[in-house]
Amino acid sequence: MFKLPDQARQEQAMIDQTDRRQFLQQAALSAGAIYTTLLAQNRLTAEDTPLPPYKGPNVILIRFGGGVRRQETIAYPEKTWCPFVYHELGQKRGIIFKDVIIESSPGIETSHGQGTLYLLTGKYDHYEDITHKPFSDRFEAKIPTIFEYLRKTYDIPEHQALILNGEDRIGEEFYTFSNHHLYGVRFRSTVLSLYRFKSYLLREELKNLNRPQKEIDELTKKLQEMENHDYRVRDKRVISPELDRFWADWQAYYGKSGLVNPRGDRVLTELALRAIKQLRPKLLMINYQDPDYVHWGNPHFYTRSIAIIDDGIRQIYEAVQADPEYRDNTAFLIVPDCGRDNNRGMSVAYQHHFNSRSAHEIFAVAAGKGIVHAKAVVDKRRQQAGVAATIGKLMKVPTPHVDPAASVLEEMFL
Amino acid sequence: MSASIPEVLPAHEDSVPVLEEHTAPGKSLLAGFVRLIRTVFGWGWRIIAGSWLCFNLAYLSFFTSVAVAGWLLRFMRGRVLYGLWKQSPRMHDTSFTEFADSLGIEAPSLRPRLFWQEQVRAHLDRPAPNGTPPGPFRIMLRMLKIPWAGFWLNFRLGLQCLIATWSVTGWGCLIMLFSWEFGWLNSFNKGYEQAFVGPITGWLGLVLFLLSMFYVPMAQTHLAATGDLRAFFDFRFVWRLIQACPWRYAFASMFLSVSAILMQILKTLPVGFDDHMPQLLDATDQEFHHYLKGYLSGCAYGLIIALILTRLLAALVYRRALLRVLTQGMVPREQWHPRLAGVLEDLGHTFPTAAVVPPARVGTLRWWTLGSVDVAVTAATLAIMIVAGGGGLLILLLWLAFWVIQVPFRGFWRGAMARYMSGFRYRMLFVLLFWAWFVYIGSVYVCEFLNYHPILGFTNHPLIQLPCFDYMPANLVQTVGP
Repeated sequence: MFKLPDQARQEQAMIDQTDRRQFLQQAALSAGAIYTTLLAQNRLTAEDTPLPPYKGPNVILIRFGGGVRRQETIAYPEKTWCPFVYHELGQKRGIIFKDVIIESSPGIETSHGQGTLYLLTGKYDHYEDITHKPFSDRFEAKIPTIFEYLRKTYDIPEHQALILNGEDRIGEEFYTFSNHHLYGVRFRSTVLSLYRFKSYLLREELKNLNRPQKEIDELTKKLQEMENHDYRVRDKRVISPELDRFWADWQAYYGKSGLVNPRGDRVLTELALRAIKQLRPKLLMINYQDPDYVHWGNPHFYTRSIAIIDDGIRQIYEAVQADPEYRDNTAFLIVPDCGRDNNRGMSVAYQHHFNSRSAHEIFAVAAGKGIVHAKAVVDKRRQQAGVAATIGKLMKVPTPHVDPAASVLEEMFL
Repeated sequence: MSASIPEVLPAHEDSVPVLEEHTAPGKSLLAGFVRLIRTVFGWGWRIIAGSWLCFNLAYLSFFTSVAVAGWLLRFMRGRVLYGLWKQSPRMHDTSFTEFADSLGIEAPSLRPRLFWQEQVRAHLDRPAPNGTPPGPFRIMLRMLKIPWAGFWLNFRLGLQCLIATWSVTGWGCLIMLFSWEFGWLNSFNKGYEQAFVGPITGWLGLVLFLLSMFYVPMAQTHLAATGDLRAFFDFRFVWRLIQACPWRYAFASMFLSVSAILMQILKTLPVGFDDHMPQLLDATDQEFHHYLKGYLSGCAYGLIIALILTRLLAALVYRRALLRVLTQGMVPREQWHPRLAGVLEDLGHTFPTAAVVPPARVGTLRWWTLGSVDVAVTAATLAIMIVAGGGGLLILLLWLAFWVIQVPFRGFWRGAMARYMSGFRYRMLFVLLFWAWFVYIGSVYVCEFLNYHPILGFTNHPLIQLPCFDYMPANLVQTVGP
């Protein structure tokens, strides 16, 4: 199909050399061949074996994002800024991996986009921004994400494989699928974020045709700009009746000003609570991010954000326990996207994460279905990239492309 | 006659300042060598001790560096008076030392002392308050004061200088600090209700600080020359000084700005030390503290040298500006600072009295307005160039043409071109000062983003305010000690 322009050019060249009859014959043959190929492709898709329904545990992967250090989270029980994650989930109900690292190799960076993709794909890789714009962080995974593995293995609709994103990192809206030829967009996950809510609002506004044409043109242009951010997707509108209902409900409650709903990472907690109630996700990834505000140098931006994420996790955990379908059938995995510097020469030692040793040092906390209870802290070194394979094992999904060196976090399984 | 050229009454031939360089009588090679050794050791000691005062023990440096600020004032005063002496009629019959001695025990010195009492003999011999010669007990008490009298004098003067400087520059600094600490209540992709507070206050603080720096370097030198806190706020006189030497003042400001940027960079570099440098990865807190202290001490050397050079340049510009202001009668005699007037009188300087005082061209409402428009147009031109890409070059050409096109038109009238260029230099002064300090403030923001220093980062600029380089992190001090 994508060779059509070339074929047309070839045919144009042939016109100069052959007579009209020959041209028509060859054109008809070419068209026939293309039609047959397309038909065959469609048949193949249609003839795919129906996928089995998913019956395993639900998994909630929480990116303790924005880069956090062990010092403020799990290193000192009396000084932790995330008491629920450390004391309740880690110590009483689950397990703490205190020495998880991001491999230190050339080209492996410790930033949010990269860390998210290491978690999603199970492999360390060097990523380059495809837009070549500063702070854009538009990366594309080369191997499948855990969502693609899951949706290729089980019959899970898009709206039950969810990624929740904050409002500050638009680049992360497009980590929903990889460029792998066997997976890709057909098995993508769905993003819930205020960015998506805005595009929903625009679509809704465009349904009202009683507005001036100029206004309609402006809204259309704006919507296209938002939807065209991902050039890889032919069907750019990630819409479904379930999602439309979700956003309609959100709008009915919070309005459309964007000022009533919770802000910062609190909006992610709210989105997660509503998604669990309304969309019933099987695999849910929550990309918290606000500790990263400490780049400006104000220490309380960081510690306060950790406490807010901790409180968010507590709310989500309690919501899960209150839901009969999710209770005793949901596993929580909490992993930072990266650490932060530990620079004693700076007044704010953790202001950045410049690929320093400490920026590679993170942790993981797991609790819930299929995970050991109140086991001692695991000191053994584990890899962040092992999280994808670990989720694969939890959900009984083959993950053939993950890095075998980044092994599963075995100690957490019952 | 043009209004910008003052009508002056003829001066007596002998009273015009001598502008030629005075060549001292030949000295022997040995005397020259001894003088060289004294200079090297004298300055070497002052640089070592001065850098120690700028950074020594945690928190103590904030106290000791006040004395450095005062010492710099005395250094500038010495250089200014030396220049005035050198161009005075008395230079032929009085050495500078003799002249300085005549000014009392707090006389200016070309190499003021950091700790020790100046003019020790005069200090010991001066009569008691009742006019009688000092007794042995009084002399003994005075001897006890000798080791630290210089430090105390420096400290007092430094405190004056800092109060004056912060009273003008401090507002901008505080507003920038407020903006940085409380201005981030926002999202990058949408504006919260009070999102404007951060950027607006940030820009307000930036502009206030920047505009204050148009004035402060010359005002500090004027304060140094007079030794009087009130002189710092002698706005009319200080603007006249700036007007007298616009190009030199712009150059001195740019030199100060560049030096200050270098200090910002040095202040920021620890961002790449710990957790990055292989030799520091496993260093204990004690070892790291030792390493960082060594680095900051090295930076303090850089700071004291930069301070000496920038203040020396400021003193030279001030001296020239002062003579020009007085020679051209730009300031009526009754508006001269009494101490300055006294010194000039002692040196035998006499200046013609201007029949018509030339109009003020700098610091006036017109100057601020025109300068602001120039800067705004330049900034807009640059912005359009960036947005328009290569095509923006046309905008730049149009902008340049706007300036050049006036030249032939201005040239039709006799003296018009000179007037145009004369006014032009004041406008250029504004533009140069603006960009010099804008770039500096920009560097402060970038450096603080990379390595934030709570409170100090925005409120103290070591080359302008308190010359303190104590950037030892509080956590490290708590762990290891000062």
